[in-house]
Amino acid sequence: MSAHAPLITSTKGVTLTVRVSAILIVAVILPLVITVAGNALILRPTLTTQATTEMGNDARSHQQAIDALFIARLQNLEFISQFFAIQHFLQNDQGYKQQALDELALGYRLDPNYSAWTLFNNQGNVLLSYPALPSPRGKYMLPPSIMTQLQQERKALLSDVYFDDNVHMAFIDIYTPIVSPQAAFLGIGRSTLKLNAIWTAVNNETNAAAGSYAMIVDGHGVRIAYTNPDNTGTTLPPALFKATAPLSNDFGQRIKDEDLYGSSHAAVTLLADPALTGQQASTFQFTPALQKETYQAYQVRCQVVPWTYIVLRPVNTITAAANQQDFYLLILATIIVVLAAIVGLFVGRAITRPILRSVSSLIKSSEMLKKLAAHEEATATEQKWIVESSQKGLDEVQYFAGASAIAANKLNGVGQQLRQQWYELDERSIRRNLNEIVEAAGYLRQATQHEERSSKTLSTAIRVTSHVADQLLSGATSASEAASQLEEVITQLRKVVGN
Amino acid sequence: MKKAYHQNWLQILCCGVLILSAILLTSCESGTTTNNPSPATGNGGNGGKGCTKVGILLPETVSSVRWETKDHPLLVQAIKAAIPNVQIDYNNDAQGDSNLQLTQAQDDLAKGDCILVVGAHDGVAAADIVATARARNVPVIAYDRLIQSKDLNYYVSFDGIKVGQLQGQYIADHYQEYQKEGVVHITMISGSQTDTNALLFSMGAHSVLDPLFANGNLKNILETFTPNWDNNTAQAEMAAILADQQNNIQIAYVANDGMAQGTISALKAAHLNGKVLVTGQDATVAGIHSILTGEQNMTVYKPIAKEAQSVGDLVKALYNGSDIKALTHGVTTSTYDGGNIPSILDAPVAVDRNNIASTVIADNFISKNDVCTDIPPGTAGVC
Repeated sequence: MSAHAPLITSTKGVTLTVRVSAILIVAVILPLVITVAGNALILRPTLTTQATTEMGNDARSHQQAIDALFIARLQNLEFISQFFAIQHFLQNDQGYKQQALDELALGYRLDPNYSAWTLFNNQGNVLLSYPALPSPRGKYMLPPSIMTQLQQERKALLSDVYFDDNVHMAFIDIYTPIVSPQAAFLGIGRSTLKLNAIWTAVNNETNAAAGSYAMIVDGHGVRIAYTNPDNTGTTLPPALFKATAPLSNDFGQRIKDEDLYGSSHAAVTLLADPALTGQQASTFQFTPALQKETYQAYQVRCQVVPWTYIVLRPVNTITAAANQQDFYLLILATIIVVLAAIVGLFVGRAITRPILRSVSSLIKSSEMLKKLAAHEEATATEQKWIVESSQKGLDEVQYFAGASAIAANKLNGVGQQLRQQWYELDERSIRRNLNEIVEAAGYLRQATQHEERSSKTLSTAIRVTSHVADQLLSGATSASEAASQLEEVITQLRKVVGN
Repeated sequence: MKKAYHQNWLQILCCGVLILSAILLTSCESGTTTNNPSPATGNGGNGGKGCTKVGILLPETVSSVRWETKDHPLLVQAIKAAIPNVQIDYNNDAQGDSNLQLTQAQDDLAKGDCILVVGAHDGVAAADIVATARARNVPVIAYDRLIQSKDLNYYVSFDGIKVGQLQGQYIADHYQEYQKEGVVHITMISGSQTDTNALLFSMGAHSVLDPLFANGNLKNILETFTPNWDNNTAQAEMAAILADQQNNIQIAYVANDGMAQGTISALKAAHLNGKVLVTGQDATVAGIHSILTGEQNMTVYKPIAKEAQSVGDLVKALYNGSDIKALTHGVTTSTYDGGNIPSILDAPVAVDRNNIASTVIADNFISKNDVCTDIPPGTAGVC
């Protein structure tokens, strides 16, 4: 049996059943492998792209909201500053003082986040303020750098960020120069806006996705808003009012002089985030300060204020779907491999069963043919022996026939001589002729004996030839049977291959 | 024979693997792919020259009927007259949603509109509409409400400060009729703080009234801005003021007719309707009717036909590629970001019971039938 194994095994000795199982496993695993590869090459980047798109939309909507807020608030201040009573009051018409104050109150009521509206004269001195006189900004009621800008540029501007420790809230000042219809510089209007809405928006970033948060970095690289996990309003996030990069000495001095970022209560220190410094890309990955994992970031720069709104989301949460899909694929692959192996086993067996049957038939046929071949060989040897024996017998018969003819001629010659010369011959001659007759007769007897032996040999040869003929007939029958078996094997193999 | 057998199986397997792979990949990816149509780019708008597709976007239909009943037909009429065979895409209701209005504008641009006329819901947020249109070289005409973008192409409206001045002047001319004892109390119910016009109207009114406030003839009890120009909010504001002042209010400066209706409702509840001077704006049917009943004193008629015609003139100039300075006369309106927008600012008209017939009725802005319901014949020479 083992001699016929190559028919159903590879050169490496793996059975066809195992090979079919292996091929089926490969057939089902390969798509899964392709899917996993697709995960890595397509799905993960797609998820990241989708997430960054969402983050981008989120960041842009917040940036637009911030810009819209400040445009509206700038407009509030600019329009209110053009109101009749304010203009006249700043032209030293004290009759309009109350009315000017009412108009400041009107402006104050335009947004609940206004904490004060203030009028300065053209020297930067406070004239009116609603609802109360403002507290100084560090050393100044109106920082000299702002006063200079307003006088020189005659354009509205927004201050850097302050922090009111009493209400735990950041605020900015919005300034506008107030100019008469004749273009005279009358004074300055200032509205003070708390950043509640902006801080709330930044805090709400945690609702966007698991682990996500946001921050706003101002033009000096200081974080002015940062998602605060504590919604009690009693604490500030650790990164708030920390610089992402070292600040210049000049600005450091300004921070102290103007009490920016509430620095009189908590100094602005460095909490470096090198990836944010000079970052030009809208979206990028980095590990933010105070975080331990990689985040995808999307930043959008505001147009009205020099702020950058940054949305951050852990990369792991972005690719969570892909990770989950990989996990499910692994389970699926395991199940499919087992199923494929079992199915392959059955399919392999189903395929090999008729082949094995055919192989068995072939083996039988082969054995039969070998047996037949042995018989044929023996028969051929016997036939050769018969031919040789017959030839020898025939030669002997021919030899003894010739010898008998010679002896007969001799007897005939001696007899004729005796008859013709009977009376002329002496006794010695007669005796000699009689001896020759006796010798010839003895020779003939010996020849006859040899012929008899040769005849026996030929008789044996004829008998053996008859036996060989029987064997040849039997061999032909066996060969016919073997041919029939081979035809059956061919038919079965054709069924297997479906041809 | 053996080799051929192997090749056949390999071919079958390869085909199977490919088909399975395709199916699996398709099923896997189908859940994650997104449809992100890329925005059209280019300069298809051609600055409006030769444009035959115009988009009109108006802000809402809830607080004021003017947009649907007046502006819409008049704009369509004016634009059709300006451009032969023009196709107009009309979006009448942004539902108070700036994003929805932006989407509507994007849809119009995607359809190939090459001039946009935008009555913005939010003058700040609508800057995105301007930016989107600018990317396609499509000019935007801000209609009635300024869009805060230096990229805005044109602005057609009425002189907002003038509107406020007409309202304030009416009060200045008539407040004494409501003076009982001492100072006259006035409350000012202004429009939405998100609408540039609201502050302009207020500024115009103050330019007239402030001297009266300063000299004590009038006392401004409270001025409040009303989110979204909401009529119900205006009613609540008026009711609160009346309650706070124990009904001692003689004048209600109300920025438009819609809010004036809310104010009148509050006055009715306090049995003060017809006894308090009420202003308005827009010359709506309800406003004119209230003037005829004596519950409202005046409105400001902004000949919307004229405003729409200004848009038509501007669209025609863009279509022809002609100079628009002849239309704007060098008038500009500034935006927060330093823009000076070429503007056509049409003059409004103050309307009270004395000139209804010669203004809004004569212009077919409203019909007698619309305003004379339940009004005694002969009232104001109108009914």
